Amino acid sequence: MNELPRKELGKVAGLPKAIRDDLNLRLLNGATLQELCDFLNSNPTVQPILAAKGWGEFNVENLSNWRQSGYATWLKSRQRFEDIKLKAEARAALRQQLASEGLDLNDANATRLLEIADDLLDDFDPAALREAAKDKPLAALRWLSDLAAGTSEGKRKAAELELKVRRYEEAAAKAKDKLTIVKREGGLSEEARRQIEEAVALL
Amino acid sequence: MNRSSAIRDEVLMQLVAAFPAQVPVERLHKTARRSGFDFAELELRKEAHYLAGLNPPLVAVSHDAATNQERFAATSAGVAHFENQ
Repeated sequence: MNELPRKELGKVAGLPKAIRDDLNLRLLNGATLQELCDFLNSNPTVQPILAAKGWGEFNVENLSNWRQSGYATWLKSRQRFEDIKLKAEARAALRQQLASEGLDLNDANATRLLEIADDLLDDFDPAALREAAKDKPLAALRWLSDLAAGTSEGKRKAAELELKVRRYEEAAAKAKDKLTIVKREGGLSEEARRQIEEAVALL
Repeated sequence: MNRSSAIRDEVLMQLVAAFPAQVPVERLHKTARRSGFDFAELELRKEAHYLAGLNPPLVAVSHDAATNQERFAATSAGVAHFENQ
């Protein structure tokens, strides 16, 4: 079971939420710690806070600590929020679609159908899918493709996903063939290198 | 953060994510459990009512007449509170 969330301590945690959010977004977008230090130390809102608390300027270590604590918590919460939002939107879309097709949502059968759909959505865990996709991207794509094929809107997306899977498989097979040739010939010719690059670009 | 505050944060976060949908406590419970929190349904319901009793209310409570089920939804004040937390 998860522990209860703890209040973050430290220099960055003492900054206003708007600045912390800005900082977290910059971290998410790949800013370096030195860039973040420069951003905070040149921010006119931050200077009076540092002066009031008697703290010196931000250094890379402060930001590194924040990345491992406050930022990690923020990222996890944000991910959870997005996952819940996604499911809520899917529920609303399903209800809207059924109503537009003339189904009485207060009817007992419709209510049961919606309960089943809600349970299916509850059991769908995007975080687990992301983890699985790291190890087996192809299997995750196929699973999504099967899921999408279940809805009318999803059929078009399923076809797109299926195409991507096929292209991925073909490109992977090509790249594998090229590597085999390279190994056999004992080196990488200019032509083989170009073909591998083309195959990789397809992925 | 004490347990009650953590449960209030969890309830508000889930309701804001689902805004403007009305969510039964069973779903709040299931989602919290899936994320590894051991909050009981009763605790979630109690804290949702606490949030509904604030001035201004952060949560609105309604009853589904067909199923006699209690449902909760974030109010606009709840959304604003969550965004400024």
